[in-house]
Amino acid sequence: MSQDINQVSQQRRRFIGAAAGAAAGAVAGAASAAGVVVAALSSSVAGNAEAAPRTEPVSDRHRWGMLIDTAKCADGCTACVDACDRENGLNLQSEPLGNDEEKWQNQRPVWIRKVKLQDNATGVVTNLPLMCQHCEHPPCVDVCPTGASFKRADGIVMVDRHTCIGCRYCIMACPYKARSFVHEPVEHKLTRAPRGMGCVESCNLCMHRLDEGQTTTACSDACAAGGHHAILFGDLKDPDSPLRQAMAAQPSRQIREELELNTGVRYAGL
Amino acid sequence: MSNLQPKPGGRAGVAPLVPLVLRFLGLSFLGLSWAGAAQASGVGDFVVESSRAAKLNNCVEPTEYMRRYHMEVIRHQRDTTVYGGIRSTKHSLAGCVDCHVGYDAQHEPVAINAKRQFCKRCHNYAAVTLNCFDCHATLPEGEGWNQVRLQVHDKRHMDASSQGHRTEHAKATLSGPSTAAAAAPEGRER
Repeated sequence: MSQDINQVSQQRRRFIGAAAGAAAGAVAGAASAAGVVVAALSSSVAGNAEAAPRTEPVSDRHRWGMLIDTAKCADGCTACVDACDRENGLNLQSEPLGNDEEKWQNQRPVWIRKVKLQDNATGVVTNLPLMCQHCEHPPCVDVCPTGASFKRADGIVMVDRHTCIGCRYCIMACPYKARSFVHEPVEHKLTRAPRGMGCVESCNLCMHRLDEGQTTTACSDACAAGGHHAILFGDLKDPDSPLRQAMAAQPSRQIREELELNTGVRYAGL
Repeated sequence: MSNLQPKPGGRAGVAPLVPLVLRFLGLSFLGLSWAGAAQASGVGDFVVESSRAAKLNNCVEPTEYMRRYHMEVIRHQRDTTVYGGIRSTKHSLAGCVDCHVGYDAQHEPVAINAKRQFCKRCHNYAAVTLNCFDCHATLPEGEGWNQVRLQVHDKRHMDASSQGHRTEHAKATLSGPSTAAAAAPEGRER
């Protein structure tokens, strides 16, 4: 009985989603039907041209995800965090003058956090990088009042900063504390990663790389370059991808799997 | 107007104010005529001489179209990019910046939203707030992430990898998109 109470009802979630989407669905019906045809036509083309920049809209033929082997994640190593900061220009933002150092450290945007877990019974310590888990049913998307927080067709959960009003409801809703809010004006921005004050942001699986046909992320590259190979990025929908093969070879878990969010980021050795 | 003219028989208390009023009117008139002159000659002269755009006949669409509708074009591209992941060059804001950014005497790019630069000058003139660059890069930081410059990027990427690690933002971003990310671990190994 208690198990039933704790279980999140997918049916309830679907019902609420259907009720909210009923009005929009009627309008978008024709458009989505056209979209299916376009995706079907483009699939053969896109399959050959993986290395080229994208010319067709993203489709649900791929779902990008990661497998993180916590056994390989080294204590004290921050290669993935640093690489993420550089890739997305987070390191270009410096502490505002006159700001309290502790406040800055608490509030500065971070897309990957290194988390250290200790099992008190056994003393076993586990290190892992925690970022946006790119849920199939993202709570941040459910709560967003403007639709700015959305899931792209290829499974990437991200923020459309053009419509984000900075209410930070998604930060509250995320079970993984994955999202950050930009409190201060951003002087230096990168072309590939626009970001500015007043918007929420989080890991987007280096979508600018994916859009250019690359299938790597800055964190997985940095982890591999550091010799750890703890982060494996790939396509969850391709049964032959190295990611799926690695997942088949060893048990892996979702963090907070009881929420049934079907995360795109999985952890082995946890 | 007639009551503002100096009156010979006016009272002594009012007389000192009259020249002041006249002077104010004269200044206003000068101001209006200056604005009129600016309107006649000003529109369309905002392309910065040192930018690549100055060497081209027109923008990605005919100039008249771009003047009136550039925002529509950018907004359409914006949704295509954010939701569809298509970062094409033709209507991308990165393309605007890349082509319209001016260069100073040292051939260093000047922020496109800086005073007297392309975007800012015209938006100032039209009194329209410009907030693209609250988030978007104001300099072509060597990383278009688009079709045209991908090969250039790859070349730079390889060159920079052999040179080693540079993290400081100005130089790192100028030298290529994933240069900083890819080169850093190599720096660590050394």
